[in-house]
Amino acid sequence: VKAAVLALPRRQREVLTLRIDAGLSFAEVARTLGIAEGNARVHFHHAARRLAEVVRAGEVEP
Amino acid sequence: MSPACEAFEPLLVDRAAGAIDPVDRARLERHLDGCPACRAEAHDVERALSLAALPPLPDEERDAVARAGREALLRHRSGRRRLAGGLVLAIAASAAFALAVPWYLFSRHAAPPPQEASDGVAWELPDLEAVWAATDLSDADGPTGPSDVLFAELQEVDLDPQ
Repeated sequence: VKAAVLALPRRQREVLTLRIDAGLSFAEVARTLGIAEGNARVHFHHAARRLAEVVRAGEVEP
Repeated sequence: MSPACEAFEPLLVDRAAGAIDPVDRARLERHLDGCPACRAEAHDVERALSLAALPPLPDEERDAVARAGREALLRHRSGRRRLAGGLVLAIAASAAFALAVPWYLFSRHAAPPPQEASDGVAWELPDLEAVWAATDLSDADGPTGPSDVLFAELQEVDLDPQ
């Protein structure tokens, strides 16, 4: 999963880190990065879905 | 995933991120109760985010971060106190200057020194000897003054009774 985080597009990685590590709200994440709050949520959703796929693939692999 | 489940997918991520609206949460929970596929999806998203999060800071690092924050705050406050003290001094100095200048100008121009006459000519002590010499004291007591009366009385005194 760590490798998958590092492989995320830069903006997705920034949003993910600010949300789950720094604990910022989506409004604060958007203000920090200078983007719209909806845009920050979309980046976060793409990142979460990508990481969930990685987790799912890892759990079904032997 | 059915179209109904796709509509709930963003809410699964919001719930895992702890950023879901209470109304949406209630709606999602009702859906999850009857949808094993979405429950599995929710589990994967939550697990992925928990694995992606950085490990918590050790106690020493957390203390160091908190200490650095407090010290930065103290430096900021002391800087503001110094700035406020300087501001008070500057205002006091300005007020003193504003009062001193009119007072100085008024005392210099409004009240002339006592030695100086109103026409601006300096007063000097007169030559008292010359004034005394020019004064006629012969009739200071007048023609009927006390000295004349006394002299007349003395002339009438007979000093030789014989």
